[in-house]
Amino acid sequence: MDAIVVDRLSCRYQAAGRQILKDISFKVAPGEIVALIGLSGCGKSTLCLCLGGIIPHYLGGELTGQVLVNGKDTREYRVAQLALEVGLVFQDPDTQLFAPTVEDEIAFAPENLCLPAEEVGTRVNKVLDTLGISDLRKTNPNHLSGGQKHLVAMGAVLALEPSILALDEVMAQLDPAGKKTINKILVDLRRQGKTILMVEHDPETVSIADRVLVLEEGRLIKDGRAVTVLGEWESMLRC
Amino acid sequence: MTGLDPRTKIVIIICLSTLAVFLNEPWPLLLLFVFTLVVLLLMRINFFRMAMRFKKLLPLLLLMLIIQSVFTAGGEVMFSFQGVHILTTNGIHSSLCILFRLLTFFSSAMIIMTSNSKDYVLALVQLKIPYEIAFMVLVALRFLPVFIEEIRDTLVAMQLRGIDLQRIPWRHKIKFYTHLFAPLLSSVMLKAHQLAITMEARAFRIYRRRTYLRLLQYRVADYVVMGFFVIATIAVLTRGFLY
Amino acid sequence: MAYIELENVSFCYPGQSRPVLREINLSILNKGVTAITGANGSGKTTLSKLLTGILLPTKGRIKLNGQLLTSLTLTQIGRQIGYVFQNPDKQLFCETVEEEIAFGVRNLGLPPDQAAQKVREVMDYFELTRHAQAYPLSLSAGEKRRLALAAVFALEPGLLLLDEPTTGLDPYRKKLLGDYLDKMLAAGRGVVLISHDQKFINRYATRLMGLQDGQFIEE
Repeated sequence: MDAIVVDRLSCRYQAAGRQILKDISFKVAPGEIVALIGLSGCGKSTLCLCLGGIIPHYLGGELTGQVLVNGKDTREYRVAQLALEVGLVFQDPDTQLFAPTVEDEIAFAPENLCLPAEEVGTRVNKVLDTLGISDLRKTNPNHLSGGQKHLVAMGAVLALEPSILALDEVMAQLDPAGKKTINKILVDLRRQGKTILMVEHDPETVSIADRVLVLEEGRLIKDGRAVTVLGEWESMLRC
Repeated sequence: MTGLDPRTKIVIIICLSTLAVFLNEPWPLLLLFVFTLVVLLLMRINFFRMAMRFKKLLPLLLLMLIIQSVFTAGGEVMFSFQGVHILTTNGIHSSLCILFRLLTFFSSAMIIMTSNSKDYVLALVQLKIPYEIAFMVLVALRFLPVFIEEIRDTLVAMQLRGIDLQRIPWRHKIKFYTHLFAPLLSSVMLKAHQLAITMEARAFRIYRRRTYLRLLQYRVADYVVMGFFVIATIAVLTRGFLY
Repeated sequence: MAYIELENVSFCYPGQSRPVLREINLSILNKGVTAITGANGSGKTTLSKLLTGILLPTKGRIKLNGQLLTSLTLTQIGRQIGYVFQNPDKQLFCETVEEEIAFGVRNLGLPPDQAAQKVREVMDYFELTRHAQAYPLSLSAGEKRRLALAAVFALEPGLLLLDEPTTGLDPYRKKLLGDYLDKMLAAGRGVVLISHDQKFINRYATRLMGLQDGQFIEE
């Protein structure tokens, strides 16, 4: 079964508003890393929101076509239920962190699942270990650097153990060293069998992807291997 | 005393402020304030920094002293001007009460800061408050300092663009405040919205219940301290009513 | 003469023992693009706040056009250095784009017709005229940054200081931003760029400074 199936997806925020996504179809196999590129406002973030069911459940809007994550139709499940399949990480880490310590932040999601305390503890340890941030356990997320905040935001979602990750420009504010760390972690996560869809501009990060999708004004205009697509797109922009 | 349960701390704060409300004589209030300071000392709270902030309220207290003297009858007149009593013993009496009362309020409230916000979520949840509400409190506590910082940044941006804060004419003051609060309001709305999405995307409210990595547990010290404060408060109050 | 001169400047946030910046000496001219790079947490943003007088150095002194920064008010500094924040949302506070630009212009003391003329020119120059009546915070990330740039540019400062201006911009919008930097230079203004966007810096900087652990390591 495909991890993500997007079938003739169109969407807009208001019934009369501009179409943000126009008739998009693609599939992502389990264990694939797919990069989503395109200019600002082309619908990349909207697509991520559709995968997590935020659209149509949270933001409303009009959605036609179908989005399946691990076979679940996003229209028929609540956002909290879809969270078990797709982990969404957003661009701004500051609005995603609210607990007083990193440990509490990561424990938040498994606590919601009503897991017993020991199991929550095990998951927290595992996530801290995977991301290499065990030494930050008792730190206040507010006092971390931008890169560390992103890691914590990602960890908070990983603690739900979703098989799919949708990352919306999580590296925008990172320096080269921070990007390298996250790139390594992404490759690690793929080895663990996670499917990753990421919105990204940085060529180095895009190069770890198996496939690249290019969006332009809400349409999917390219879908292919990273090296070829990225080259074509960059030369296209040299307008 | 630093390791007390947050619920115990809440009880301490309630006891201290209840006493501050009901006591009505300068001496007992001063005693209460000193006692509060001892509690703060035991909890290793640095009272000094707050005391510095309190300095700004001094002119207000002075004003209160005069108003109390002018408008409350009775007591010995210590200073008068053209028949109006400017300073009376009664005035001194009641403004001293207000001073010690405020000091007790503010310093006992500082006890709150010795636990982190997650502890208060746990305290509220274990006091049978619905967890949704407890987390709302957590989020509010988390973002309050952020908003204060944002106001500061906007103020700086306005000054850099040529507004001299000391010299805004009165008729422009309202305009100035809308400039200051409009971006704040939109940022509050935006943050609240994004945070709600983030929480839900982490399976918040998937079930009616949730579990916790660790729970609060009363220890012997908590029972002793709570018992002491409650009994002492009741004793002092009933004594006061008996007379 | 240097536009900004830093002499042995150190900075330490209150309550922290480790200084963010240590003994920095630097002079910046009001021409060309000076780029200051460094990893997250190397003190870049702190440096920009020192240059604009938002923070005061714990040691050393900073001179702007030969005057001590501590003797100037933020209002006076704002006339000479245009500062675009890392997050431009924080410096946009008016109801419309036009208002936003007029806000600073009004404080220049020009007669009303000249002021209005100036606002129109600036809007035109930054291609914001078609958004004149839009609510600033509803613009896209790139447009907001452009508006913040336009709003501080309207005060005609000799030097523009941009903190991480490429954050959140796609390659095309980065190129647009670059075009505006060129315009600034053509208008005889200096630019200080604080950024770790290597590609962008390589393309536009005329002078490169690397910041590491609170000190400059290369030039």
